[in-house]
Amino acid sequence: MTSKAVRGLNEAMRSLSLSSQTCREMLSHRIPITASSSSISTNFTRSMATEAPLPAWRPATTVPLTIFDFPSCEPKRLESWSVKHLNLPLRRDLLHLAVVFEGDNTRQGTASSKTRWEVRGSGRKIKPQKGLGTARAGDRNSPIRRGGGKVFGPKPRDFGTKMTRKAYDVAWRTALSYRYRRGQLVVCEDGMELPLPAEFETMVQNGELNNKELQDSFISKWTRQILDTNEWGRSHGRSTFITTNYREDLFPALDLVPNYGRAMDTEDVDVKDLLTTGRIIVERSALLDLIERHQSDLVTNVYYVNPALRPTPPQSGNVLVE
Amino acid sequence: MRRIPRLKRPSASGLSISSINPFSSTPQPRSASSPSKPSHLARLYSSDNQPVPRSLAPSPQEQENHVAAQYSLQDTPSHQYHLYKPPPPRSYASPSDEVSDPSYAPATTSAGLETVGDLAGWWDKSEHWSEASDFVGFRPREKVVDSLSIEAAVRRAVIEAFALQQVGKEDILTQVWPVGGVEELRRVIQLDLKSTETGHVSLEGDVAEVARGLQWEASAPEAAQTTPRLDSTELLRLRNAWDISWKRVPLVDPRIKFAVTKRIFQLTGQLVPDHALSDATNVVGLLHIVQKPPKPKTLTEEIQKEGKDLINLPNVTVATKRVTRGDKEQALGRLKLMQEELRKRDLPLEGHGFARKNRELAQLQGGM
Repeated sequence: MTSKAVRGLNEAMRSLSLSSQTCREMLSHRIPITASSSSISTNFTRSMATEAPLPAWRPATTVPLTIFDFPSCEPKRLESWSVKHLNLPLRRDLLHLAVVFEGDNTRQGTASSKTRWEVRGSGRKIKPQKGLGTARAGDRNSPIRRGGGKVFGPKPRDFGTKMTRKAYDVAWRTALSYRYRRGQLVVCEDGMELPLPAEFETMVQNGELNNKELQDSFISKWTRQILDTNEWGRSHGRSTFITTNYREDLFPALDLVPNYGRAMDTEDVDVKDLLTTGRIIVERSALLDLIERHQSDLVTNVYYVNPALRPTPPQSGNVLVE
Repeated sequence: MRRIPRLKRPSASGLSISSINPFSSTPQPRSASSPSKPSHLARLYSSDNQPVPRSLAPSPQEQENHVAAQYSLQDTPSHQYHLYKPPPPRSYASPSDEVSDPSYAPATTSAGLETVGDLAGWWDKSEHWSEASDFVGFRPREKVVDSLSIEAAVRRAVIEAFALQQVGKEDILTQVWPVGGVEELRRVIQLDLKSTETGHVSLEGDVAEVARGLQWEASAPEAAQTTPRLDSTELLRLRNAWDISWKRVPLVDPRIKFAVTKRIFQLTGQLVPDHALSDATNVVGLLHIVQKPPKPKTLTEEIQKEGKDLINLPNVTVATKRVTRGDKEQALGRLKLMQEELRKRDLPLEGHGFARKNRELAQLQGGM
């Protein structure tokens, strides 16, 4: 009897030890680490009776990203970026949460109305309580009278909601990843600026184009041509240009053609901006900056006595081809 | 705000009354042969701190010419431009009391006076902004969508990339190559390209000549900006002569793959998206990506292209846009009668869609 109980306990313990394997351990079973065994595409994990080969699953850790010249759109080089930065799976729920969170926090919340105590006017009783044959009445600021106060009117308040920082950062990179997978993320070399024709600059310097409208119409036609040539313009659903800081020529030029695109610096960008127009045209350093500011779920802020043990965040921007 | 220098009023003598207009009606003649940037260089623009591709950068001699032209411009303005034409300088007529002609009487009505118009739409006129001064990017002006032409461009790109590798000029593999003419295209795609099962690529023919054609020569004449095209019958004939194994040419070397996709983008305007690069392990995979027909923009286009059986159904009508009340009345022949009656009663004749849509939505999408 006792031996039977011990056997049962042993079995239970064995099954417990099997099922208590973490996913990471399972992965190490499936993917051999040594280089010699990596050529063998099958591994055996289960007991001999139900032995079956499993294909080795090796997800890519990086994705390629082409860096273009601006505005000629010539591919300049190919870089490798981490999948945790540019290839996250689509999470519509997180994107929705982030957009609502941003909208809530953008609300001004300054609507205000006056109660009966704030409306101008005296608190004198407007007619005697009895003897007139009419309904009794208090003062003229009463909410039931014309010109009186508002009972439950709006008062200034904060509509802001909260969202977990890490979830918000995942939403940020999810939005970038969504654009990347759809081919709508155009990354350009640093120093993105609208080059104007030399002849135009000379004309302006010589004072031959003193008319502001004439200059503006030139710049807007030039901008429209650049965007149309690169299939970035109005007929292709507008573009959002993101740079590290304000650009003297690019930003005013895009203000002249709002139907073709808009420009903003990295400080102004939100998740909603990443999801609105036809494509995002972003400077390489601006994209790195945006990702660095939104990877709180990937980097640890725990202090390590031995810095060698500190886990490194995913690396992006290594040059593959130049 | 730029300060506008005050103009001196010209002397009255020698000015006719007809020049009261703010801009003289007869523009001054311009020298046609003014020195400036060559058009093929002036048109591929780049941000300031990024060098223009070496192949496209102006030579020192041209730069000197350009600087000289700029200096001479300051002396004689509005004579040296040939890409864009500014309006002529403003001229003023003399005041009516200073006119020396005794027979002159100021006009009292505008009838018979010359009109000169304003500056609106100045740059839309071809004589002020010619087609040659339009912006030109890296991709061709017209996107190539014909699958035969795309296949030829892919073959050309693959041969050129492997030719450079074979010759040993891998340093220019990732740079911009000249587009060349039709005979160059014909010569390149007729080279013999084969691959074995093991992934070895063999290229036979005048490989050195192909590699030489990919280098920019200083003394070469100005490159044609239009991409060369061959007609479909010739392409079909050429394609039948190609060895079938060329489609198995592996594209594992990232430098080769980058060079090939860049060249295809330059020749056809078909860009291989970054996320699809991993699918292009060989030429077949690449062709599959770039030969994909463009997605129809509207449902109507899609139905007209693919839903022939739907259109041919006897009990189904397909309209290209929404069928409104007005359309129904028009089909019955009642619309004109209704319009007449509305006109008689002075009622608005705006019909369907006169109410403006959500203004905030329009503003969000960039409208005013």
